[in-house]
Amino acid sequence: MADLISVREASELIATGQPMLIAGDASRLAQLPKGQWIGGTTPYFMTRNGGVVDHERVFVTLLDYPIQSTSISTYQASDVQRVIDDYPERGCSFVILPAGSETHLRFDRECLSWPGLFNSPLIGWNAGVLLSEVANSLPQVFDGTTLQAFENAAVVLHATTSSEFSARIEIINAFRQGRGDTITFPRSGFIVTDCLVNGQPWSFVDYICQNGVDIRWPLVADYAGAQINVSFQGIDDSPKQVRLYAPVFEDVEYRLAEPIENLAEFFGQEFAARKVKPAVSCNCILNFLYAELEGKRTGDATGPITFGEIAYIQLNQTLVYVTFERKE
Amino acid sequence: MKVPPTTDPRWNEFVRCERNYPMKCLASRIMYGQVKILAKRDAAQAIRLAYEYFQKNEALAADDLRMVFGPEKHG
Repeated sequence: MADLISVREASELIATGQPMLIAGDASRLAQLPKGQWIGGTTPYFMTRNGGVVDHERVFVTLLDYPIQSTSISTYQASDVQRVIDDYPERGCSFVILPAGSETHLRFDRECLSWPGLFNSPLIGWNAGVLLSEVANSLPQVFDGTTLQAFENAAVVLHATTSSEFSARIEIINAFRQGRGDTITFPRSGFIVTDCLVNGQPWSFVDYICQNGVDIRWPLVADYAGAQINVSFQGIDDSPKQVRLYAPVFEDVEYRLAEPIENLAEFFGQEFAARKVKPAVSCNCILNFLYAELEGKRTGDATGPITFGEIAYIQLNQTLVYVTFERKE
Repeated sequence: MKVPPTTDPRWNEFVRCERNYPMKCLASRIMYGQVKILAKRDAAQAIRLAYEYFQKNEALAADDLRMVFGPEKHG
């Protein structure tokens, strides 16, 4: 079950003892009782009836069969890499980070260098707030076992599954590398000033402005066939720099995304074509905004609308999901 | 299929391969993308990362392992 429901209904579900992931407004998450849940703030959701902005209800994703047992842990920015040490022997780990927090930024910058990152499936998302409230309130994550809320920590639900099943994380990315210039960066980071375009040095701001780049569409890296986006947050004149929602890495080649038409329809169509029944899924706030998904449906692709998605590593403008597959 | 030991010379080919193996699962693709970057600096570390990945993800990455090391490999 994954649905947008009232706080009362969610409280009743928590009382059954089932583990779950919950997304919603901070004031509503704070009303929930103790239980086997983790949560994060967002007022944006994709339901079966379409995209909505809702401050009253919470989006609950029940984690049922083949999940057999769960444990919940909280990690500070200084020790967030310990998530990997606590991976279940067989199963999947669900992580929620407050967008923009030091914990989030450290995870993004460093996770690829953590030994064992890929040893067990890790899926999750970044919590956020109403976009008009970004200046006034911080995203929060919740540990349901203690009812503690955190503005700078990762909450993780480690789930052990039946030995007959394995968890498989996949993504639906509407964007692919275009055929244009190859862009590399001399330093890794979220803020970029300089770049190399086909090996020639450029100011990244000048490159974007002089080429009329539409920054609604991301930079895309190709990880052995996996198209991984880095989305644009904005361009500053002083200092002259480009801000990104995920870091670029100095060893990686990027290209601007091919423009896409009918972004709103893409997710539902792609989800239907794959014929999957995800246990958990979420989609990005930038897809919600740029595809104008409020009031529009994306088929079975329901879940919280999030401020960065995690499929082992940080992703942007991507739908992520996990399925549990019976082993052959 | 058993994961070949890290001393198997095919690991070296795998981590230094210019082409992309058409991996089935997302984890394999991201892992392999990282392995190829790492191999430019430290091939032994890249091999260890890939070896550990296939060991720990026996069921999930079985098809990808067969594709890389099995009789029908495409590399």
